[in-house]
Amino acid sequence: MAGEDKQQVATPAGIDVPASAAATCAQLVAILRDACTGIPMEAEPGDFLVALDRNAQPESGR
Amino acid sequence: MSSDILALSLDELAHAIRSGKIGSVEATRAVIAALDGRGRALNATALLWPERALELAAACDAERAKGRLRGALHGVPMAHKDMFYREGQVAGQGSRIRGTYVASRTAAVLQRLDLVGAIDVGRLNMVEFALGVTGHNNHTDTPKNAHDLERITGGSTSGGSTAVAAGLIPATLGSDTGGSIRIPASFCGLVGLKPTYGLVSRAGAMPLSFSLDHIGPLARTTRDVATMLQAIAGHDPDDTTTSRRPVPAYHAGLERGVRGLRLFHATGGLGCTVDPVIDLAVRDAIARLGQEGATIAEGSLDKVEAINAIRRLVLMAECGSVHRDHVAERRSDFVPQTLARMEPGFALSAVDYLLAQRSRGPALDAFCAAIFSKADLVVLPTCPVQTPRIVDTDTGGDARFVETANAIGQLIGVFNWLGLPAISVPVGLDSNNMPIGLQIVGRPFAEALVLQAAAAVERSHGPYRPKVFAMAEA
Repeated sequence: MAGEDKQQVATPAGIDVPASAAATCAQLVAILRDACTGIPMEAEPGDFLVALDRNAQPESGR
Repeated sequence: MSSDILALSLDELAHAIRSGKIGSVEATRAVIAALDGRGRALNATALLWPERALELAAACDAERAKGRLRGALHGVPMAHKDMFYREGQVAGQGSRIRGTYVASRTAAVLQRLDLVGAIDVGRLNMVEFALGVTGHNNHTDTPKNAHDLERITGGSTSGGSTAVAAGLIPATLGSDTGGSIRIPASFCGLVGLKPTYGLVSRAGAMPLSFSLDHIGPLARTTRDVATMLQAIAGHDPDDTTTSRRPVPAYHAGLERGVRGLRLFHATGGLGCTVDPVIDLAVRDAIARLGQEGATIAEGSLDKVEAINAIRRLVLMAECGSVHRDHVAERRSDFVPQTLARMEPGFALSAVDYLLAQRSRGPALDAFCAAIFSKADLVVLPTCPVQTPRIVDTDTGGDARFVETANAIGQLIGVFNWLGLPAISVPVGLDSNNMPIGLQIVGRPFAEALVLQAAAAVERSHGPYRPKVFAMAEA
């Protein structure tokens, strides 16, 4: 583990990180891409706030 | 007498001050003495403002004598996590890097507490930059759990949670990006609420991950949490993500009980095994709600593992963006645990970050359609593991630490990603006599219903009261 931590890799952010950190990112990205298969082309980040409102408690009076 | 004051709930103390049975100066002196004594012994206290606080308390007493009350928390002393800015005061954020940062504005949530009369007496220790769920912090020393000084408080609201549990303050504000309110609430035997994303303004609070940061209260009773939420909820023009929906009366349903409510007990798809002792306590608590008229169905949650992965990516990328310059210039000033959690985010591409964000709305729609079409509330353990010892989890920033942190927060982060209101309420003790938390989750903006169910749980278990030991060494 100690040797692995010394091995630094460059990142798009301009910060060198341990190879293990880059591997963690790659592992999580693989899960992300798999989970997001079929996301509508029209989906955009701001939709989340709209979705909160759309799914709100109906009888909350809010 | 001071211990009598400290043992009161927020609601009881506020009532006593409003009615003149206890003076605000008297209460504020008791809280400052407790935070200066026991609070420092617990590594909970970061900074106290006694002169400012006592001056405000005296003003509150004078106003009350003239029949004027500022609001629901008139003259009530409390202290908060060291990430809520107050203009002109240091907000160290549990860090060396920002250890002398002087805030240029006051956090919106503090302005709202000020408005209803609360007295802000100082700041409480936290995990460095709020990035961590165990409570470890080499800069400030790790806060100790008031129930067992050898065990973690949970984080990142570490000092605040143990201060409330020890009876040093009646309530506090926390932030919850991946469990930082609910995990310490669970480990310290408190009620802690992460509100719906957009219900409470984040303006003037330290950012960790702006898509996932939520601000909410921790206290010893559900009623106290409702009181705090009532004060801080609602639209704020300084935070564009806040909702314009009107704020309901959160106390109104606390006595309604759970008759007729449909509870979905999430037992499958969790991506982990729940500790049998915790599972038993949670099942017992849910069964009691069943005896009071709730209907209970067990089932599985979908995509918990995927959502946890996506949430971690977004968290790491956003906090990496906030701290990129700090990492480039002052890497050695971070504690290893912070770097270990943050570093993978630097490797994430913009395309993948945006893919994650684009998936968030559809994920919320899918979750609500699958779960809230057949249930009013989701119930599950707050943490699937028992409260670890400080020494056992003090492994620096290595893979074991990350694994431990992920295990503690396994059932938490999904509700940050979905932005749903989620509360942790105590339901018993584990094999080490440490508290266990039940998590109750509702639809967006269903805080009143979540509080209603939490109050029912509390009635069947009894509200948490500080033990004598918690104040004996003050």
